[in-house]
Amino acid sequence: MNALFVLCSPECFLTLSALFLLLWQAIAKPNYKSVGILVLASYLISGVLLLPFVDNQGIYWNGLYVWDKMAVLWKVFFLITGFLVTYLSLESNSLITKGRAEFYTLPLLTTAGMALLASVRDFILLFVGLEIVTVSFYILVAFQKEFPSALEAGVKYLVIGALASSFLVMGIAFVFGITGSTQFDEVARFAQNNPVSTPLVLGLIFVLVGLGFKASAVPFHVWTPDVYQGASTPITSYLAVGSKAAGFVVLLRVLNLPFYDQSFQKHWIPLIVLMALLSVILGNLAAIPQRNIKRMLGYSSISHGGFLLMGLSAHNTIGCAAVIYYFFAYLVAIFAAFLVVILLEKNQPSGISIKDFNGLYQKNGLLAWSMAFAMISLAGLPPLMGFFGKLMVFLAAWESGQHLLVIVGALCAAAGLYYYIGVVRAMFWAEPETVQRIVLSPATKVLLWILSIGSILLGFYAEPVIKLVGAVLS
Amino acid sequence: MNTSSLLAWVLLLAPLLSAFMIWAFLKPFPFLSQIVSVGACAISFLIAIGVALGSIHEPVTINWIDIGGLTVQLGMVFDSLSKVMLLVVTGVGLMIHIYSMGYMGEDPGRSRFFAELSLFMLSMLGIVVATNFIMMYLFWELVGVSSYLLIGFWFEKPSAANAATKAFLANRIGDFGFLLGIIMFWTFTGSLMFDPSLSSYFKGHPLVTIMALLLFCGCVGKSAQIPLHVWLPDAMEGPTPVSALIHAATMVAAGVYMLCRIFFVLEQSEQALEVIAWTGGITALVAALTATQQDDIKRILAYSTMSQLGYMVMAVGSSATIAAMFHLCTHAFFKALLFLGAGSILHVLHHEQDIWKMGGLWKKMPLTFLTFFIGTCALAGVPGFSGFYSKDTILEMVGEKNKMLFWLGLFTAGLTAFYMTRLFVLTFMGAPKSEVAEHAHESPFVMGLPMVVLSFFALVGGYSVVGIEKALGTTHEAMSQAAKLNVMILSVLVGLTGVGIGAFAYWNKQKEIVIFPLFKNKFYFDELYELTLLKLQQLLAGVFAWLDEWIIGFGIVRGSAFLVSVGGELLRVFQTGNIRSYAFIFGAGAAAILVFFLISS
Repeated sequence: MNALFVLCSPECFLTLSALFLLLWQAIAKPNYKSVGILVLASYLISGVLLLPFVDNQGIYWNGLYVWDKMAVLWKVFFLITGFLVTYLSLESNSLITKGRAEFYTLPLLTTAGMALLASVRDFILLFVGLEIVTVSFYILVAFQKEFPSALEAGVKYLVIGALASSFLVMGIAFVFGITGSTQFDEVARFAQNNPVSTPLVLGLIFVLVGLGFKASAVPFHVWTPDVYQGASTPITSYLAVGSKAAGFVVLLRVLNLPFYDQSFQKHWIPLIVLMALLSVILGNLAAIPQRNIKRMLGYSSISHGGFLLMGLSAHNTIGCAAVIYYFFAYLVAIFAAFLVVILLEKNQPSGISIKDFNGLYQKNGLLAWSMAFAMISLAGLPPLMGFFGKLMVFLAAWESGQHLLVIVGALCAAAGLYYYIGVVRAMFWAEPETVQRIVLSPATKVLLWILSIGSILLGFYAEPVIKLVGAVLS
Repeated sequence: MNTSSLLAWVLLLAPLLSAFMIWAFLKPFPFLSQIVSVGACAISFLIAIGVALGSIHEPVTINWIDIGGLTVQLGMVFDSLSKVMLLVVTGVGLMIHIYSMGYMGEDPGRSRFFAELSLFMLSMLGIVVATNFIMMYLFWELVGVSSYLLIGFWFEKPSAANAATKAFLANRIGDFGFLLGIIMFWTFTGSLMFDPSLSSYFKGHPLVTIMALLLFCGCVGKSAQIPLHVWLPDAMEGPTPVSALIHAATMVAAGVYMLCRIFFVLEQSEQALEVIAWTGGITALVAALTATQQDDIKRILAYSTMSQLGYMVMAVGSSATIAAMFHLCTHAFFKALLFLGAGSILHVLHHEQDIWKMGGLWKKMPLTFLTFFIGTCALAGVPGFSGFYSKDTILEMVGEKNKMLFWLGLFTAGLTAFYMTRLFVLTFMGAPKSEVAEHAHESPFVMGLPMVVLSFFALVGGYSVVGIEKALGTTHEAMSQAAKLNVMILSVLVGLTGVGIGAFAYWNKQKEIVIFPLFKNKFYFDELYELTLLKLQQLLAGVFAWLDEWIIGFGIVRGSAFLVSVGGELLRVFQTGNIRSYAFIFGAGAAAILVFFLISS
């Protein structure tokens, strides 16, 4: 473990650059835009610094921290997420009136926490990483404190989040109390050699409850629609992709190492299946009557959490590969959708409802097409990326014998079409109130093109991503 | 990759490139777009000929997805089934591309039209050459998309937009079953290939009937079989060349093609075949009855398409896949021809679609009259025309398996002759019944040429010299010559009766002679669906509005409407009970899970 490696890891680099930028703006008072651009640059540099260490393998600090292909892949995922969130923040700068520089800088710390979570191998480190992410989200959600709705969302997120954290800590305490260790492989070894007692199962369930909050799985989802609607749009997209992925990367680690043993599996598989079932049903059906786009995407995010849990419930390689692929598909679609929402919010800061998409095609074709691709990909229609994600999840779950889950999931996915297509219909076939062309900056145009083409190409030609994921898992 | 392999891929690449180029660059140049699209289709056609002659072979397969246990390949299969289908799709497709140059000549959006047409060609050819379920499903959805786009081509018309949505939804229901069937197939066999030797995995398995029926769902949606047929008549809102190509000749027949491709699955279950045969038979009858009372020329043809597809499905259900494919081919020729004829009439009559406002067109439009006449004869099953041979083959094969279905099919044949005669007499004979019909004139040459070519094939397509049936495989000789002759005599008699009644009843009539409300209103399927769906939707919406209001969303609006200051806000949030109820749900959920686990362990 050399110093260079530590310095170059995204956790360390992003934290340092965040501290530097905070100090710099406190002392030199630069203009907001340059801070934002430096934040973008930090993500890029961090990605470049990752390159020499891609092939590293190892477990460090007495088993606290692991660096493997999966960790690298997730770190890259979080870097992309952070980059796009910052870009979205820059696009929506007219909506954030105070403390813009902090608004750009804070996500650096959140992303650092997420990158740390990609490497956890110990329950204590897991808790620390998760709290870094959650606490910084408390601030980010309530950032527009002149809006009561943002404040309310922040408080709701805080209270429910604290509740979830307490469950998590309790669970970790139970696990530590029985097994005498917080390290993942120690716990796994204990389960192999000793019978699993009730308190240990309690610990497992408490940990899953705590993580269920991050994944916004039913019944731990209640905060999702309100917070998605109340938070500023870049933060909503960050919650939808980054925070959810952080929950799932931890779930992937936890379920595949400390709780991998048969005696554990017979407890957590029914639980995950149950949460998946409830999430896909409630998420898809409750999204149907929604009028506010962010609220609708909140429910849609609950349903996607359900599909992802479906992949986890398969407890096999295809299931894990499906979860990772699904997340990349989700990232592409969600950021395209929220970018469009942000561009529309510029003219209408009070919130965007489905009706505001009426006739978007006439106002700006590129926006309408990007949104349409995002919606179709989220709905899971071929040949876009979302379809392959869903297909793989269904195949994995079916193979592991969860037939009912797959049938319900497919039915709910079909029901979900209703609200996704509703947006497409509004954009292409409804008459707008005013036809006012929307002008896009060149960078935004390029980004929209990349996201749209990416969702088509990586759908049609999914192999590179799937191969990558397969290599990561082997 | 050698040249032959490369050429085979060009079959798909040509329309793909054409669609992409038009969409990306050629939008402002409609004329160039036409040329590119027609050229791409012609290239595909030439390659299809090469494939049929055996000079172009199957290319090496490409591994597309390969992760533990799941392998999907991109490949092409050139067997007798796909060779014939390729020729039909590209041949009819080419004719309709050429025709469209005339028909869409003045439409401002024709670049988009041709791009979408090329997209359709790509996806349709993809279905034909697919070697496995996933590849087929992918292109299957893609034809769905292009059909959706083309139905809604004139999206300014609300009826077109609604029709597009309806088609989309009906197909989704079918495809949902199809996908489940595919997943089930994969679980049985661990493979997704169309490989008859895989049937050993599920031979005699009790679930095979369910799998076969789930796969059949795909065909029910795409080939407009009852109960998912409601979209096809509405799909006539699209431009007429689209109706001819997609909703008559090729795409709707893809369901039948798919059934033939996966027949090795279907034949494992007698019950599934029974269901398939009856679905086809009933669709054929219901559609024909409905067609007898419609007034819109395109809708009559649409119901007739549905009815003929029912024939093909019935044939597959009676294990007569070759007869089904034979009828698919001849039907593609004469139905495309009929639609092009209808399009030619609409083109000069300024889109007047009511047959009661036509009449006397035989003098004004001699070429359309002649070609339409050939199409009508072929569809009505007049001896000597292609439809007669293929329909007879189906009736023979069905008669061997199921006498009831045979009589049903025979009666439908009579109905077909009847309503086509009605259509023909009202449109072309007698005196003009409206102002526009008085001033009709012949369509341009570019539209006439494809009609002539197609009518040639509609005439001779059934002859054994042309050899469509032989190309599809060995012909069945199960029946004795005498029985065959009996079927032939019966069907000729029934056909002539139909023609006779139709001609006698509608010659020089000004309005409908007798109205059957059940047929006129299409057996009330639309009303039924609207009622049940509407009720269901209202119920669901009500339930979720309630949930949203009371459990989930005391939310932003109500929570913050009364708030004055930040401090007040904080207090308020804690005191509305709102967040407490959230925390309560969270805790109750966790508690319920705990109780469950403690009891179970």
